[in-house]
Parts: sequence; structure tokens; C-alpha cells
Amino acid sequence: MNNNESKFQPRHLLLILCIVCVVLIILSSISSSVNSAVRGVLNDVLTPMQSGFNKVGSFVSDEAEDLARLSAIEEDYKALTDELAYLREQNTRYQLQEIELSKYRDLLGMKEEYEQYPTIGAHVIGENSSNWNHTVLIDRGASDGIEVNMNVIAQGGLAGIVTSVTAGSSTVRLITDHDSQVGAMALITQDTCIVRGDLEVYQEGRLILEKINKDAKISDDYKIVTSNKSSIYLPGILIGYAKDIDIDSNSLTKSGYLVPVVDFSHLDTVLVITQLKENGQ
Amino acid sequence: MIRRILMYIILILGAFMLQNNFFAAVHWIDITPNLLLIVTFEFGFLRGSMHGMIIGFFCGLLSDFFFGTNVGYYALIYTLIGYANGSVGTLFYNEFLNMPTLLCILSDLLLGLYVYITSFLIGGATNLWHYMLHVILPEIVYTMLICLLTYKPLRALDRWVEGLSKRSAKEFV
Repeated sequence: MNNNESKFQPRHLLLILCIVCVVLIILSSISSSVNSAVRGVLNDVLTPMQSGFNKVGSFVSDEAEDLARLSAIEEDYKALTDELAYLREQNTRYQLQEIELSKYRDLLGMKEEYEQYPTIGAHVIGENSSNWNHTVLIDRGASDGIEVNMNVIAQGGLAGIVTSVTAGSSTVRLITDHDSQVGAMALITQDTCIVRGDLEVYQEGRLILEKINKDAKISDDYKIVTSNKSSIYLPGILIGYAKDIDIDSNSLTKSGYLVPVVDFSHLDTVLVITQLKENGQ
Repeated sequence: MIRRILMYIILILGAFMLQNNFFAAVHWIDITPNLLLIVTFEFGFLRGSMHGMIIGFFCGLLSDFFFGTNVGYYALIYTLIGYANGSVGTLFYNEFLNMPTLLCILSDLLLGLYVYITSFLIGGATNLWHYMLHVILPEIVYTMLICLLTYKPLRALDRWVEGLSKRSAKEFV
């Protein structure tokens, strides 16, 4: 059966390939440009194809979800029409309040939540399927002005950070990844903490909130935002809400959980903030 | 040979994109079956370690390029899996479906443990049981199911391409 394997022993090739792999691992851990450089070659051909596959996937997924939901929707529809009438009436009242609020905002010189950062929209076209890592591929790259370490937001909260870039696509490491650590703080009390991704905790849709000073006044449902002190994350981006904060066994720090605002299982479009933290690297 | 290489390229790219782009867009799939692993170990099993490890190398490399932090990390384990399945395949080449299923389970288990040990255990995540239950085992189950479904079609494809190559070789002579 295997007739063309006699000249060259498989174990020789195994040795060569393993050495190549180890050399690549070492090289790419020294310099991140190795990854981008090699990827650039494949990128032009594969990104459009990946994008296509992703669209088909979205279509199939949406269609199937639609079918499953159809009967439930009928019932919901009736309930919702009633609610709509009620909400419409309420909405007019809020609109009036909103105008009033913006007047006050102007007076105080406050800005809207993310308006100070320039952003660019991108589609998520791929997701790391290894079940271990939470990284996604987006369809914007260096040619759109994306650079490594740019912050990525979605649905009003921090989603992740760009870790490598090619001409037409970039890889984003989500904050739920086990390698991800974000310097954060409680919005009200300015107490610093670290938001860390953890696969085990993420099963319950949570992240780990740790290294909180024992005297810090962070308690449940406090808004957690990115810290001014973080070296790569821009300050003041909402990450999520604190939950179950408790004192650690060392009695020096507190830790607990964070419920992210981003729904990571429905991450279709994201915004990349095209401004880098200045002291960043 | 060219036909065979072409088939491998199409299968690898197809599996990669189905896995990372198509399945990623389907929200109700939480744990994705590892199609690249299936391609690697099936052709390793059917065609020997040379084929297995070359396919594995490229499958791993592709994952590394697009999603990995270290290039070569997945390439290394996929190469080893391809080689190992090739060695076993030449020893136990037969018609039974059970052997590939068993190999599929072992390969996926090996891959899972490799990732767990090299990037989670070192990072302080010592709770192997949790990862076993929530990541490794579900992936093995799904991958095994896909393996059962695709083993015969892939083998048929393999034989068809082999037949084409032989026929054209005869014509050439």
C-alpha cells in the first residue's frame, strides 16, 4: 500500500518537522512579527474565503434559529403589542427627560460614554475553535489602520484587544481568554483591580475579578471599567459588573467575579478603537 | 500525486474554514468538533505516517497562523498525532470501523492533554477534572461522531483519488 515511503524514513521527516515547529515556537515567542509576517502570505487568499464561510454559517444559524423560534414568537407577538403601546407612552416622557439630560451634560462638560474614542466597525469572520482559547478573527487589518494593542469594544463594553494584524484581517484576544488580564477599577470608588479570563469560571458566563485592596469599597453590581493605569487598555471603557466579592485567604486582598456586559456567544460585529494608549507597549 | 496533494489542500482548507468560520457563526454550537484532527488522523491511518504528519503539520500551522500566539504550537502536536496514527495504521490496517474510532478518541485526548498541560497547568489551572469534563470530553464526543460519519466517505474519496492516479500512471506508461 505505502509504496513511496521507502526511500526516506518517516521518522527522519518527523524529526525535521518537530525541529521546525520548535524553532518556530521559539522565534514567535521572541518576536510577534514572525506570526504576522508569515500570515500575511496566506492572508490575501484565505480571508475572503473565510469571510464567505462565515456568512454561510450565519445564514444557516439564523434560519435554523428562526424556525425553532417561530411558534414562541406568535405568543410573544401578542404580549409585545400590548407592551409596545405602554412603552410608547413612556418613551415620549423619557425623550423629554433625555433632552433635559443633554442640557445638563453640556453644562457640566461631560462627554458621552465612548464618543471620545475614534472607532472603526468590523465583522467577526472567524472564531478559534480549539475550545481552549477565546480569540476571534475580524475582517479589518493594517490597511484599515488597525494596529496591535488596539482595544476592541462591542455591545457597549470591552470585548478584547488586537494581538496580531495583517493587511486584511486581525486577530482579537477576547477578555474571556485565559491569557487575558485587564487593569480595571470600580467606576465610583476608583479602586483598582484586575479582570482575568478563566475558562472554568467562564462556563457560568463570568470572569475573575481579583487583586482588589482589602480596604477597597467594591461590592456587588458596581460598574467595573478599564483603569487609567493599564498600559494597553484605554481608560473608562465599561467591562462589566462586580459579583460575589469576598476577602481572600491571605487577608490582604479581595476577589470575586465580573459579569461582562458583552454577550460573547453572539459576537458578530465589533468596534475597534483606532487610538492607542500613548504610553502603551 | 498532484491529484492527491490537491485533495489534501482542499480537505485541509475546507475543514479549517468549516471549523473556524462556519461553525463559529452558528451560535448554538458551543463545542466544535475538531475537523482538522479528523483529516490528520484519518489520512495518517489510511496512508501511513508520512502523509499523516505532513497533513498534521499544515493543519496545525494553519491554526497557528490565524489564531495562535506561538507559531508552531499546534503544528507540533498535529505532526505528532499524524505520525502516531500513521504508525498504528500500518500495523492494524483493516476494514473495521472500531479502530479509527478508538484512534480518534486517543488523538483528541492527547491533543486536549497537550493544550491543558502546556498552557493551562503551567498557568496555575490545576483543576484537570473540570477541563476534562467541560472541554476535552465534549470535544472528543463530537469529534468522534463526525469521525463515524466521515470515515467511510473519506476512505472512498481516498480510494477514488488513488484509482485516478493509477489509471493516469498506466496511460502515461
